[in-house]
Amino acid sequence: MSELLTVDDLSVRFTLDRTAIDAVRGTSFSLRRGETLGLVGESGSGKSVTARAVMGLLPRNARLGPDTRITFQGRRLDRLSEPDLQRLRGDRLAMIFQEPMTSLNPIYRIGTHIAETLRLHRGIGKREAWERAASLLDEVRIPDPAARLLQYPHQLSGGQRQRVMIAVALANNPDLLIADEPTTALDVTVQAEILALLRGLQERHGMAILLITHDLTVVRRVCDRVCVMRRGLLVEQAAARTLFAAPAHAYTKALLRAEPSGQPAPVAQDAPAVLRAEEVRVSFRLSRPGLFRAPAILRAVDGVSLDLRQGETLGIVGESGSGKTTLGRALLRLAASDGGRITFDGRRIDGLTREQMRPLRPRMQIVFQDPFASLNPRLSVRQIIEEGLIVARIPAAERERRIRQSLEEVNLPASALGRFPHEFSGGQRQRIAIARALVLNPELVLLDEPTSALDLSVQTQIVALLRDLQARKGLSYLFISHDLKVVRAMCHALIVMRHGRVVEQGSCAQVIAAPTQDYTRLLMRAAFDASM
Amino acid sequence: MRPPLEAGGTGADDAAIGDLAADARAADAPPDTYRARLFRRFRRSRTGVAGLVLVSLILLASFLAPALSPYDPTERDRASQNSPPQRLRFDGGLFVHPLKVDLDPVTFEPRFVADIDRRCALAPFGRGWTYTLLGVAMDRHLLAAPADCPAHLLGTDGQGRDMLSRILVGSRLTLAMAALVVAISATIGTAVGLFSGFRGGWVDDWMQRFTELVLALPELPLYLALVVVIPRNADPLLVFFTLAAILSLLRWAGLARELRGKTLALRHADYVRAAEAVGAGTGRILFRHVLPNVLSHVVVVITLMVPGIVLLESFLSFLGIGVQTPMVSWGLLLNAAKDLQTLGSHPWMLLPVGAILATVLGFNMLGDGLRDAIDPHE
Repeated sequence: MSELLTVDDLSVRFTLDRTAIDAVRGTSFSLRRGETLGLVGESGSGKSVTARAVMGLLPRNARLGPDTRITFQGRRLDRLSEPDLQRLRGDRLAMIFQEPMTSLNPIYRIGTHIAETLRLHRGIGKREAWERAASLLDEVRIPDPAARLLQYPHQLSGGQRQRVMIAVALANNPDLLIADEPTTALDVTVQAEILALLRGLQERHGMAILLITHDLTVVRRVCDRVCVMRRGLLVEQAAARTLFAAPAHAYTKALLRAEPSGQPAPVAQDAPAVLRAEEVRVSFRLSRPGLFRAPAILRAVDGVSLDLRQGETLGIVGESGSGKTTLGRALLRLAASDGGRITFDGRRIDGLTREQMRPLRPRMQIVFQDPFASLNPRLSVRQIIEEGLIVARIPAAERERRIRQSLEEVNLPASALGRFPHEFSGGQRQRIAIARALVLNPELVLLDEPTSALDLSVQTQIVALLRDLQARKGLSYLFISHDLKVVRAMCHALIVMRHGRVVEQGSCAQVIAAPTQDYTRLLMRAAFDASM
Repeated sequence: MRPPLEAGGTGADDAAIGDLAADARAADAPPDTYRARLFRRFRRSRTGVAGLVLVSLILLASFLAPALSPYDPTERDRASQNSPPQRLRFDGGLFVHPLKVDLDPVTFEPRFVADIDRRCALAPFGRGWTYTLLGVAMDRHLLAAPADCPAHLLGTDGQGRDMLSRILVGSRLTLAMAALVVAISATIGTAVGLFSGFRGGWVDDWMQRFTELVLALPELPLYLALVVVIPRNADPLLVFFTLAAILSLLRWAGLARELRGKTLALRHADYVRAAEAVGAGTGRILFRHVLPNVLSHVVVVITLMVPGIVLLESFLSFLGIGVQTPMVSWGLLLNAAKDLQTLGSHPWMLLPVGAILATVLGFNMLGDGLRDAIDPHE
């Protein structure tokens, strides 16, 4: 069998501060022409390091192991000199990255990016390169390629930029394309388009793709074979169909099971309303009014109404820029709204000042998306959780009791109290953030993408924890998310938002199973349909 | 490697999957504070540690200056004016050979020659001139000079005052000036920066315009104007404090701008929003969440500000518009070395330059080390 790429016994060791960390240990796999191999694993599993080792793009403090052999088209990549590697990269070997915002240089036109790659490796003239660039843009299905070539990266949307990156990668008809989380930063509908595009291109050009991702849905959609990595080791390697049907390794099984599932406990019929919003509007002034022009105004939230009962979870879903986070913050009066009525526990709160809101603050809490940014790095866990209690003037003995209780509720040991946030993992930090919200005995908690920054397995634990807390304490959740799988496992009711407006609203089961709007249908298909 | 905390108490599945991002330590290890991590990173920088050692030595020497000085820095010795440095020798005890004046046989120029027949013994920890340290009167010195036998290790100035003692004691005024200016300007800068960044809106706008105004003020003409404003016969102490005040009022603006930017960014940090969500007021947010997170930056700015002030003091005093006699500062010492003739025949008058150089270098190295420890961008 003619293998395009063979990786034998790959080991990568990082030396940091005289301590050695083995990022990858003894990984072997191979890739044939026209094949798509998925490299799956959670953060820290060594999947990106593996890809970088193949490209010869490891940082300076990394060393390959003595038995490592990376063979590409019969040549030993690990033995190649840097100039030889450079000739190979962007020609026979191409790579696309996760972040389409930063991988294009903002000061060059789209055409320059593509034409440069062509001229560098093909040595063709400028005019010919630009002509070829236009046909490449057409191939990655960007409308009106000739005009796009003259534009700059910031004029394109995230999805279009990723298409440009793919065009750059494809410029020289590479034999191997390494895609490192190519769709993670994109909205679900765009993600589906990019994956379909990659698959189409692969069929046409017969190249091999090494796809690195943490998202099993993506793997199921495009990969022929899958390698599962964990803590630098390759734990399972199988055909995609086999792996999803009958996983062999315990970790793979756990990973597959880790997709959030189950349903929230039902809400009592006569549960009282906690939060009600009518026609809420939030606008941002984008520019100051000039002498002869009106200020540019962005309607981030435009006439949204909702009801949230005690013990209920209301999901707010939408793609980036849909206004879901702004809506959530406005409902808790952490951002100013400029129209509509917000009623909390029978009391209008939309006109209240910051001072007037303060007594209400303990009753409505918030958990943020990024557990690394939401905890003050200079405070200990005790100080972080305690803060709201101090502000509420609760005596010290009572504070101590409640801190310990809330820590127990989120399944963290009491020994965590004296520690600092950076000593904890992402999942643990998110637990601390939840404890900070719970210690005040709130009635309403705004969960702003509480699981999106976490690994799949941790995500499942957090979902279970949140559901459990809701059942025990009768909490009401406003659950903001772009991940419909998590939403299905968490929510009773659902609001789908787009461009600041509500597209569809109803019970969660109904909206997911039988969407009435085209946009909602598109979202659901992108999220759940593996065959798409 | 010990198991992460996450594995505890959340079921068997978790133990199988674990939390791969776990960097948590076991419960019995001491908590890893921000300061401990900062120090660990700081120790990695060799220049930073060297700077810290140098700065510590300079500060210690400055504090113990009178005890380290063999002579009273104001005492004039008519017998040895402009005498060059004498070499310290050792044979069971420390001594120097006194100098005698010899005439050059050709040019008849007086020359200092060591009189090897005589010895001036320096007594370690012996008694000398009286001084007060921390309010206690003392007369012990690291090396006490013998009576009636001149022993000037770094030479003397034109009035026969011991250079070593003057440099040591002069450090106090120079460093006090730096400390005073840095303390005042850092306080103003921090207060203005935090308030401006946190309040936002028109208050921020106006405060920023004012800060820009201060930044735009031309410094040198202001210093020169100082000469005109302060009367020639004014109390030297008054001149010292006026100078410190003027320097402070001109130097806070840079820090204020930097902190305003940092505060603006922190104001939208999730943990500040979270504090707002638990009902914390403005004061609490500022002093508990914003200030501690910008303080490390302030420390770096302060450290890097010191050499600037030391240089400025020397420069102004050298021009004669800074510290006034009879006070002693490094700049003022250099003032005596400003003509070419002095440089040619008494080069040791330039020794304060070495002290200034060491201080500036030390603080810069320390500041760079601290900065790298605070923002490790690898």
